[in-house]
Amino acid sequence: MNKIPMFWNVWIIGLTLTVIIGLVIILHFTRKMKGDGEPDKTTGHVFDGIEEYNKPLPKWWLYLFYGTIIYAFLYIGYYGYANIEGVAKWSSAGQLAQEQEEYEAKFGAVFTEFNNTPLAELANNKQAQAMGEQIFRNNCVICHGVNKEGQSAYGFPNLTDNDWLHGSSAQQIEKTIQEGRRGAMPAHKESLTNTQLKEVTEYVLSLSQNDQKPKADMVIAGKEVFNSTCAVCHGEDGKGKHDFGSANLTDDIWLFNNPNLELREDVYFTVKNGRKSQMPAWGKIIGEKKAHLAAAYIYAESLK
Amino acid sequence: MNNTSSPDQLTYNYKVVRQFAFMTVVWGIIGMSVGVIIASQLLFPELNYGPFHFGRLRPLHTNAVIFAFGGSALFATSYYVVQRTCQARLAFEGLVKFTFWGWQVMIVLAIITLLMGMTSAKEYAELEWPIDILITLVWGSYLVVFIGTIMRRKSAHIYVGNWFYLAFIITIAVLHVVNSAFTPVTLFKSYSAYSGTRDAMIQWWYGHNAVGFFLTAGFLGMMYYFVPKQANRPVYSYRLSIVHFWALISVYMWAGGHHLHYSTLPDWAQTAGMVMSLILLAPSWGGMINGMMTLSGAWHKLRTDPILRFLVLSLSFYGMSTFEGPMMAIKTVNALSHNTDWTIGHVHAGALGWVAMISIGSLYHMIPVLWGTKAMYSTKLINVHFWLATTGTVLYIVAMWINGLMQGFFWRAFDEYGTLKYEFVESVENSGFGYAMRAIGGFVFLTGMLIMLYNVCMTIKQSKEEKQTESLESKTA
Repeated sequence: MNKIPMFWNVWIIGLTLTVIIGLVIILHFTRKMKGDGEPDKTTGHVFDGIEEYNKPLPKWWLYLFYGTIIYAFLYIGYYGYANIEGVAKWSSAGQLAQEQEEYEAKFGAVFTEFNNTPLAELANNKQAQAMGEQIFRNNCVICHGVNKEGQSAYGFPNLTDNDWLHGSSAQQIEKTIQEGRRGAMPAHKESLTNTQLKEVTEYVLSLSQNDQKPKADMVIAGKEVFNSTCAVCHGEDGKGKHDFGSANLTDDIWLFNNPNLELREDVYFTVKNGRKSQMPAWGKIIGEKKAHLAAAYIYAESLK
Repeated sequence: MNNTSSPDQLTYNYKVVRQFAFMTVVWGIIGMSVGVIIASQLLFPELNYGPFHFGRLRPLHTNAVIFAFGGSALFATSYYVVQRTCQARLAFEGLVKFTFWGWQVMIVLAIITLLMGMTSAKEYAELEWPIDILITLVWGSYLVVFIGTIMRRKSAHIYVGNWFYLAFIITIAVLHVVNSAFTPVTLFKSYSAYSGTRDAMIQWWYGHNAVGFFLTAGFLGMMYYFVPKQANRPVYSYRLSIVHFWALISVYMWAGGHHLHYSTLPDWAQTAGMVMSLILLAPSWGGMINGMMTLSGAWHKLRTDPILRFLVLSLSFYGMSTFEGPMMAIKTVNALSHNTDWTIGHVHAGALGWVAMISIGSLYHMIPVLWGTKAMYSTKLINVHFWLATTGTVLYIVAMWINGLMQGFFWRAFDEYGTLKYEFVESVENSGFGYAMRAIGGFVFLTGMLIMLYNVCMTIKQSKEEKQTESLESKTA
């Protein structure tokens, strides 16, 4: 544990003691006062008709006060204060470590066992699936939704459509969850003219079955733009590549599809301004073993 | 000493007291209406509309009830009490006017800027830096006026109520200036002078002392005048008032750390926050005992006097919430209660039960004096208001206890594999009943405030009519 510099150590302890001892002194000296034999006598001050008795401090109140002060010293003595180590040798960091150890002792074995089991096997293990689902519900639903439907307005992927940007093999899913992913579609507003942006938008719309009725004349020009600019990542067939995490443009599944916008506007925006998205590296956040179980759950779901 | 004879009322500055007293009722209604709206928004999210969404209305609610309603009540009563107990007119007429108009302008600016989304993001200190400077100027003037008036007093002693008011004014000045220290970027944006854990600690040193000094010490000043005055009994114990005054103001300063339990705040500061909060129980109760015991020999008055009932019930809620507070500051309890609705219930036990009720009782005592009538227009309506306020507060607190405990237990429940048992949203789904009950409680409390506004307006009308009759009679005679 980091030690507090000596000056501040003395400052903290000194100031704390000054206040508490000050309280004891003021309590001690007002406990008994002159004239205590005549409890119904007022102090003689009158303010706008208000007089004041000077009755003794209620005993139970006084003892309550002393009691809390004694408790304060006991608590500090047990848990420590500033650089003084308490009887319990307690620190919040130590408490955390201890609780983690207890957790590990109680639940660790089953997690370790499953961590050494491949996803394909866990997909059929009821207990692993129940644990994975619970981990998913605790951590993943904020973006991916309770029903795993995602939120296309923000580019959070739908996990039920069997369209996998980074692939659906056990290994690929494990990597996505453990290490996270970064999606980066570059902006093209500098490299393409506005006409080209519109043309390529029409071409992209023509690749899949959707309700946008792409404009045939622009589609042809758009194809040229696509082949020279977009095909590197999305492929000449527009089916995307799992190694790049580039989207399949032929399946009418759109990562970014704001329900309040026409699909045409969304695609145009994407090509023009690019998109950035991030899947966090969950192995580092909830631990590798829990992330492994979440992966087992998602992998099993992907097989359905 | 001949302090009991009432000096000619014309020598007191009642105008500013009347202004603040009336605005207390108005801001109370506005602030609490916003409270009812945001309570309903948690129940019906569709009610979030344009800039009037929870995120902007919530700070508007807290600023309106604490600084507009509570602040006006404190200005009104402190100006009234300091004059009457010192038998002196308020010092510095010009500054007095500035405190009223400056404070009202501050509140209007707060409403506008908060709705526009301008915020420094510090709880209870959200207002941006130009408004912070205005607050500092008004508050400095308030301090000068208050000290100036005390210096004009006729008696050697300073009344206990004025100690509390003065401690409140001085401390709020220090808290406000330190916590709001900023680097301005534009006219509407600034950044805190502190960063990280230090910023959090200074914020909660401020935040908890805003409770301790603005909402406790100031209102204890109110209590020390209006309770003995309304009960017509001497204050129970002078020495108890000395002990609990010094204990309260020296210990409150340490308690803020309990807002940051189990955080990056150093262990010793969390420990200080917890044990000092526990020590705070007795000094807080000292005020309650002194108020309650002042009534000994006058308990029968509660049967007939709804104003006294307001004052006494406020002390009960004060005692209840200052017991609950230290309990919630215990780390193991805090581990359950932190971030749940329990905290909001605790705050409102203090805000509705103590702060609002003592203000309401004091206003009902003061308004007939200020406008020169024998009594409020209707005592019956005060009684109705009393029961509405009581019912509303109880509904509110109980609803938040239910929700708070449920949320706390949901969040810490583990399944048999050591994974959290419930999704966060499940605790939200189960909060619906409590949210409904809370919104109803708030609405009932607000209804009482509307009745109060009617009663106050009718009293003012009555006073004008009486004055007209008097002048007619004097002409015909």
